Amino acid sequence: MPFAMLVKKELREALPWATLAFFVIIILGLLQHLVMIDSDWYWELRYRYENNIRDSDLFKYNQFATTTLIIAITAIPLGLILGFCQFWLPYINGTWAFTLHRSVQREAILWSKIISSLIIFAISCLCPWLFLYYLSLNIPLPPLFLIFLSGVEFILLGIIAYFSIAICVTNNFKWYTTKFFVLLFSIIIILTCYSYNLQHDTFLVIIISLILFLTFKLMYQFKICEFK
Amino acid sequence: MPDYVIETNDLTYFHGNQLAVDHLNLNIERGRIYGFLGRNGAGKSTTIKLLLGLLRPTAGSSRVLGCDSQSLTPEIRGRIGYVTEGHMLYRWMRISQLETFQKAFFPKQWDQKLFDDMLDYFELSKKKKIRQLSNGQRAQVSLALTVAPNPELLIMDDPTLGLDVAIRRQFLEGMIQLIQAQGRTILFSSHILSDIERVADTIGVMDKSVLRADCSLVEFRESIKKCRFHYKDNLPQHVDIEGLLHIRRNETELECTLVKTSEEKIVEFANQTNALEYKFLDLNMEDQFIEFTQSATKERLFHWEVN
Repeated sequence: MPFAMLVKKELREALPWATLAFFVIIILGLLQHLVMIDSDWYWELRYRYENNIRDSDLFKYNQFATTTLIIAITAIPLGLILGFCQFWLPYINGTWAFTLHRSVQREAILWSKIISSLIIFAISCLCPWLFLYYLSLNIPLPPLFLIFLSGVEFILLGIIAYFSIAICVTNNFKWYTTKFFVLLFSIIIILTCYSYNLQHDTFLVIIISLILFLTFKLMYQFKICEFK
Repeated sequence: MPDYVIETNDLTYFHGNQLAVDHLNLNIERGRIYGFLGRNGAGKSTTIKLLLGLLRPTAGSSRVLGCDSQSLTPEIRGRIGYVTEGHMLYRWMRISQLETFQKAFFPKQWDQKLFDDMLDYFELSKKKKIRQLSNGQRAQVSLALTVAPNPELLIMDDPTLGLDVAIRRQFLEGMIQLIQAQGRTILFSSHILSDIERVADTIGVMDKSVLRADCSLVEFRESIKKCRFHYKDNLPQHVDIEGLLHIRRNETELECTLVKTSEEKIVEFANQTNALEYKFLDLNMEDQFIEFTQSATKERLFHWEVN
């Protein structure tokens, strides 16, 4: 029950941002969908490639691919905002002491934050993305599963942004030394992956490994962190 | 063997390069109401955060309710009530929501009647949001939330900071009622002397990161004296008297602030220096505190056993 209460509190605090992210994805996604339905260009493309359509062309010309950008511009800022709100704001408004001094392990407080963020990512980003993908299956040039996967990758990048910020905020280093090292490290890994144009499965393995690494790092960091 | 609720052993903490707590050795017995005094930046809040494991000591250690501060278990935390400095609560919550939130962590200990009585006493409605409350009201909510789980040890970090006189009095009276009703141990930090004087039976004075006094309030009040010696024109150049904190002089008078100096020693000094007369000046607690902290050196000047 205490843990559920902590999760509930975190969800309530993140509600405005979660709602905003949800509606940004749904509204922009639906607008994009309307464009796709109305576009003659689609029918033309379909005609042109009638019997000779390749996966790479589908990926290249499918406008649904641009919808993934909506996920990118929403999920990554959402991760940064959640990280700041959950770990940095309590320093600003001085509520860390009130939050931490209660009859639960410190780890429970951390996990309540992480789980609530994962729930928010699932509801605000993954659900609308699934819905838009499902909707787009009926357009003349249906998207590939790989395009769906690239959207999921952006959501995972949002989660990486969340963990990176959480680690940066909770470490006690000076801002001009190694405070933002973890964020920099994550950015470098992701940019390197993109520059090598990796296959989706390889990229996913790297992202998930990075998330696991950041989770362990945050758990350790939170345990030894000082709350001034 | 005394039953200490709080024990520190050479507890030391640095904020960056700055020494915040210097080899603190503090022992608080069960049932005491300990007033933790000090000016702003003296190291009171840092000490409290170290005791609660929110900060990690640079050196030394501390134990609260028999458990190391750095590894306080949820069970021990549940027995410690903590009123944070500035009464920082979740601003978006209503009092009723905060009550539900807090209650979830202390389902067995929570005293609903006490919580409701305190809100009634402070005339607070549960429907109000924290952001709508004044500083004083927030302090009252904070006290009610902390006290309702019936903590064995209550630690309050400057709870009356920023409150006006009337609210402060109401807050302290609420606190006194609680203290009288149930024999808790209370550690109460403040730089408002009158508050400490009203509620504490034992005090500790922190100054520039050092604990300079640790004694009963009565002893503190009785031991710091200011004595004015009157001379014709031959003021002594060197003043050598036991327990001297500092001196002020003009052409014919010498004013000495003394700590634990017996009257015999004062008479002896007056005779030796050919003083025409001497008299003790009235000092209230604030005067005593200022005299004491102004002149203290880095050493711990005195320590009295609590009776």
